[in-house]
Amino acid sequence: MNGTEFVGLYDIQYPRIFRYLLWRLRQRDAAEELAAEVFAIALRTFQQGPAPAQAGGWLVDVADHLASRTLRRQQVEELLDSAGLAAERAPEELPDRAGPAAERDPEELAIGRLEHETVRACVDALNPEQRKVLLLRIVAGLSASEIAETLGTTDVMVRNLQLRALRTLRTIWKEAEANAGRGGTGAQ
Amino acid sequence: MQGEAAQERSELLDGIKLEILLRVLEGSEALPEQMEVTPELTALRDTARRLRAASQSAALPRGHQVVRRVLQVAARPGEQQAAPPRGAWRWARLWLSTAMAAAVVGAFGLGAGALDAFVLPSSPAYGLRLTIDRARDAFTAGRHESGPRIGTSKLGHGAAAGNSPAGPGAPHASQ
Repeated sequence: MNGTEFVGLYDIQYPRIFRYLLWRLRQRDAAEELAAEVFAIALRTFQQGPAPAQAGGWLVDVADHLASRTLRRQQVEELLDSAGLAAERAPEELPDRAGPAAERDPEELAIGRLEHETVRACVDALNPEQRKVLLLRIVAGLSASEIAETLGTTDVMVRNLQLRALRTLRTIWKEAEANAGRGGTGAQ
Repeated sequence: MQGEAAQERSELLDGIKLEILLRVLEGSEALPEQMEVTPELTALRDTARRLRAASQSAALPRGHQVVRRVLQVAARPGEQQAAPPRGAWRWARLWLSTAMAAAVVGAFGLGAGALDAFVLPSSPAYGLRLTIDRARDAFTAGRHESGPRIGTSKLGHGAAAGNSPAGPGAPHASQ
């Protein structure tokens, strides 16, 4: 893969990878950092050998791996924090939660943070398998066959899983909106 | 049993139809005219649309263009390396290092006199050998005083007397 092709791939895939990471990590800075790392890894890999046939799926796979690693590290840090064992960290190294980072972005605010938060809460209520399929399909934009390859299953299984996931999400969403309506703080 | 099988077939069909609707939503496919879409599938498509809209509402970071430029620059050396044949460079390096090694060994050999037997006075390298010897003598004066210098052999009776064991330099038995 030459430089022009790689930049072309970056232009198409970066938004997907970044949003997928943002959805998983909920930290804008961390998502940005990891998205850059994903493409740095891709560049090194593609310079050493041929690019994979389904580059999009491969990139999401790498992003997924990095996100899991980051989340695990954060969980360990939180455990240490709760046990009072955390090492002293500089203020800039402290986790940057979604709130302040999102507030710095006026576009995101303009689109409607409430809707975003509602959607996130509903997706979080799904079981891990359904959540993963929906994030890969809708947020990362992978095709059913790419997801099947990533998860090591078949296209049919992925299609069934996304059908059930969307049904569950719709039900949860309706309930959340009904609750919000009763509480007088409707998401819509 | 038949009911379960029918349910399974229906689920399978709904899964396929939903996949098509999602592709239409992404803009990668047009909706087939003859495809029947139930209200439930339409509602699921709308749920997917809302989820997609919510995920895309997050603006891309400002740094992503910087990363793009860095990657663009980093991707270029790979192309430059790929352009010339690497095998040619490898052979050139091998030949150059072999030639350098031969030159070093040859010069050392000439200087140390190890190649004296191979460098005949009629050979063009003999001049070089003499030059090296003179240079060596200039730096290490007196080193060759006990033996004859190459190219400056003493001829005649004096030389014979000087070189013979009973010559002026030889110790006398009576002393």
